Amino acid sequence: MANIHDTSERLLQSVAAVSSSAEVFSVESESRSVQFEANRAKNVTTRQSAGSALRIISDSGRVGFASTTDDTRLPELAQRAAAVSEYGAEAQFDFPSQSALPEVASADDQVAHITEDDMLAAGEGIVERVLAEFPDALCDVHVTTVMRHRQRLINSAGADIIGHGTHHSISAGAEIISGTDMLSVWDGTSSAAVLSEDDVDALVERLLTNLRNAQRIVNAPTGKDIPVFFTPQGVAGTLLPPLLSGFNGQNVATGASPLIDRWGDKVLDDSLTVYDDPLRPMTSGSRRSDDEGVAARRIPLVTEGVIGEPLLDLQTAAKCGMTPNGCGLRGLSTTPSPNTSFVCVEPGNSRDDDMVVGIERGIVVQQLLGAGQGNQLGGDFRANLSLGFLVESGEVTGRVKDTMISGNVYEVLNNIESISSETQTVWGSSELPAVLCRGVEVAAA
Amino acid sequence: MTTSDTRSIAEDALAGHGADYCEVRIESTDSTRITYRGKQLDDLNLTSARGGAARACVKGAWGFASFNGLEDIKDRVADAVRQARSLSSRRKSDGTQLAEVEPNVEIVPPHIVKDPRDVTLEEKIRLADHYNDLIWSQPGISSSDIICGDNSRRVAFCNSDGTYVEQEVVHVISRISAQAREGADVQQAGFSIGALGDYGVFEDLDDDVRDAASRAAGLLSAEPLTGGQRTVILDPILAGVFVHEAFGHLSEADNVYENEKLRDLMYMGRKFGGAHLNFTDGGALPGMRGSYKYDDEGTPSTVTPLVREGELVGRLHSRETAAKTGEQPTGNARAISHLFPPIVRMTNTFIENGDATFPDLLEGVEEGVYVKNWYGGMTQHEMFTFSSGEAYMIRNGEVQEAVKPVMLSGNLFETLENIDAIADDSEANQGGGCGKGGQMPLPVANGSPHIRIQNCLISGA
Repeated sequence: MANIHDTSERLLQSVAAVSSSAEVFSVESESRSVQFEANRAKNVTTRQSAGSALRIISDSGRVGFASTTDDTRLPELAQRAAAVSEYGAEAQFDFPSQSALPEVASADDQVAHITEDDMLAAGEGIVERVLAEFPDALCDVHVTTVMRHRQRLINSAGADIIGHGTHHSISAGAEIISGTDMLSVWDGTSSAAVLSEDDVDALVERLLTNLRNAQRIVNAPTGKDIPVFFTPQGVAGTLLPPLLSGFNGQNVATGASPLIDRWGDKVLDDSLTVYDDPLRPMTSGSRRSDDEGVAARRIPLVTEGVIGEPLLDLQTAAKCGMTPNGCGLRGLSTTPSPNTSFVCVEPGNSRDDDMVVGIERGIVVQQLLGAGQGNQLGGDFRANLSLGFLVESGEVTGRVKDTMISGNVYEVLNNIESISSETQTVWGSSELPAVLCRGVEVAAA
Repeated sequence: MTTSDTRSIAEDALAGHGADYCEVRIESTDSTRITYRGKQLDDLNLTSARGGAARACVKGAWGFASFNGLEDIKDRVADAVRQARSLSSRRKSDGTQLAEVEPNVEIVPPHIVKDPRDVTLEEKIRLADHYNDLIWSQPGISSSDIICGDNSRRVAFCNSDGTYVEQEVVHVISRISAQAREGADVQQAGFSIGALGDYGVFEDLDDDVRDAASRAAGLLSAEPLTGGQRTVILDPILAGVFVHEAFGHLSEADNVYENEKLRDLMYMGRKFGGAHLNFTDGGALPGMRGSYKYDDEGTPSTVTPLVREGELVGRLHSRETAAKTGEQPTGNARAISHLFPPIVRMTNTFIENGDATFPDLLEGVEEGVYVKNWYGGMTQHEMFTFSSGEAYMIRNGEVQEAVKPVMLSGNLFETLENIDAIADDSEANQGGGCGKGGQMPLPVANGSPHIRIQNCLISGA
C-alpha cells in the first residue's frame, strides 16, 4: 500500500467533488508475534496492514462513511461515502480545525529492534521458570511486538494529526490437569516501550503465586453477605465493564445509561475515584488527540463517589448538548465511538495483605469466565469464577470451583470496605488497586 | 481479478518455496452495516478489504505472514518460510506431520437464497427503520439497538500439495434489542438472527420485534432468582449454545493433540451421559452459517459424529491434529480472515433429536426454570457458562411468570450426565459468532431440541 502521507492527501482532494466537509483517517502497522503452545515454540507470525477510511458530511448534513484496505479501490471511496451519505445519520457536528495538542510519549524506537530470537528467548525463559516449580504444567506464551503503527488524520477544516505508537506485550498461561480438574491461570503485561526484566519477573511471579494458591480445591461459601476481594484483574474483568458502559456517550445520548441525569451526584462510595488518562506516557492508550482530532485530556469519571462526565466523541457530544472531550476512538473499518484509553482507579490506604488478613471468611476474585454476558448496561455483572480463592481467618486456603458471582456495580461499589494502596497495570490498559467489598452474591454447585 | 490471474499469482508465489509445506490465501471482502441506536440511524458503513496470507511449515514449526499489498506476495511467502525455518532450528523437531488430503481444484459458487447484494441500501434501511419504529410503538421503551449487516468473502487458496480452491460465502446477520428503564433500573431484551446467503431471514420479523420490546418492558417488574442448583429446561436456541460451549470446544483436537493428560480424559468411547446423548458437528451440513465445501487448509468439509449414545466417538481436526492423533482430517481448520492462520473450529454443531416432547420435559418438574434465547457463552476447558435471554419459572409442570434472565454454569464431566430428557423438536440457532484465539466472530450455527438438565448451577440475577 502506498505511503499514508500521499494516500491521505490524494483522498481528501478526490472527495472535494462530492463534499466540502470531509475527513481521512489512515493507518499502517507492522507487527510480529511468537507463540508457544504446550511449552514449545510453535509459530512465528508477521503482519503488515494499511488502509484508509473516509468520512464526509454531505451538503444536506448527513454522514457518509466508507473504508478499504484495498488500494485498487481507493478511487471509488469518495463515491461510496457519498452514496452512503444519502441515507446516513444526521451530522450534528463539524470536523474540528487543528487545535493545540499536549505532548505524550507513545512510541519507543527500541521496540523495532527486538528480534525474533529475543522473543523466543523471553518465551523460553517463562516456560522454564513455570516448569521448574510445576513440572506438570503446560504453558502457552505469546510475545508480540508492534514495531510500527502510524496513523494520520486530516480533514477539510485543516486538522492534520499524525500519531505514532509501538507496543510490546507478553501474555502467558499455564494449565495443570489432575483427574478431571483442569486448572488454568493466565496473565499478561504490555507497554509502548520495551518491557523490562522486572515486568517479566512480576508476570511470572503472579502466575506462580496463583498456581501455588490453586493447588488445593475447597468449597466456596455461598450467600450475599460474603466479603469479596477483587484483585486488580478481578476489578478489570468484573466491575469496570458495567461501570464504564454507563459513561459511554452512546448510552448517554440514547438515554439508555443509568447515569443520564446523575452528573455531579454522589452515586458511589466516597472512597472511589476513577478516571481515564490518555496522557499517561507509554501505555497502549497514550495519545495526544482522539481519532477525530479533539485534544486528549484526563476524564474524571468518578471523584470520591461523585459522577463526573461521560466519554464523548463529536457526534455523541452534540447529541448530549455537551463539549467533545477527546474520547472518539476507532479502528479502520468503523466510525469513531467513545472509548477509554487507560483507566485508573485511585489507590486507597490499605495494604493488600492487611485487607486479606481482615477477612474472616470470604473469597478472592481473580479470573472470570463469561463476564460481560447479561444486562451490563444496567450495571449487572455475573460470571463463573475461573480462578478464585477461599480466604479463612485472613489466609488464602485454597481454590474454589464451580462457583458463580453476581451483583450490580451501583450496589457493590457503594459497599466498599477498603481499597488497596498498591496498584497494578492490568493488560496494559488500566492501572488498578484491589478492592474489597460486600453485596456480591456467591452461588456454588 | 479473474480466476486464472489469481491462480497464476498464487502458484507463482509458491514456486520454489523450500519448506516442507506451504500455502497462500488471497481474499477480498465487502460488507455493509446499518446501526440504529435509540430513535435514529446511528451509523451506516461500507467496508472493503483485500489481503493475503502465506503459511509455511518446516520440521513441525510454522511461519505465517499476512499482508494487504499483493505486489510482493512472493517476498511474503519467503518471510513465512524463513520464520518457520528459523523457529525449527530452535526447537526439537517432531517433523512436519500433516494428514494426507487428495489435491482438489475447484471454483465453488456461493450458496444463495436471496442475495443481500441485490437488495438496495435504501430498502435495507427502510426495513431496519420499520423494526425500530415497531420497538418504539410498544409502551415503556427507553432505547433500542438494531444492527444489521451483510458481508461477502471471496477466498482463493493454493497449497504446495496441488490444491487450488476458490470459494465465496455471503452472510446476513442481525441483532435487535430493546431497552426499558425505570429510574436507575435498566432492562433489555432482544434476539439475534443470521443466515448463509439469505437476506430473507431479515424480513418478516415484526412479531419477534414486538415480542422483544414487550419482554424488555416486562423485565422491569420481573423478580430476580437466587443463585444455586435448579432443574432447568433449555429451549432449542439456548441448548444449541450449550452444546457449542459445553462440548464443542473440547472436541476441537488442538486442545488435546499436544496435551497427553487431556487426551487421556477425552478418549474415544468415554461415556459422558445417557444413551439419548447424540452430538454432531458438520461443515458439510448444507445451507447454514457454518457450512462450506473446503476449510481454510483446502480440506473438504465433513459431518462428524462427536457423541453417539452418550459415548465420545469423534473430534474436530486440522490436517496437523489429525496426523498427530492418528485420526482422519475432518475439514475444521478455519481462519476468520487473512490476518490469521487457520485453527481448529466448530461449524454447525447439534444435539440430535430425542424421543420425548416438550410437555414430557415439563411433566413432573415441581419447581424449575425454563430458559430461552441467549446473550452469550464461554468455555475454559471443562468449565463453561452460557446466558439466557429469557427465563420463566416452572411450577408443577407449567411455565409461569418471567423472572430476570440468568447465567448458567457447568462442568463437562457432571452436567452432561445431568441431562435427563431430550425432546424431538430440533431447531437451529444461526445468530451467533464464535471466538477463539483472538479470531472473532467466526460464523457458526448450532441447534438442539428442548433439553432438561437436573441440578444445573445458575447465578443470582
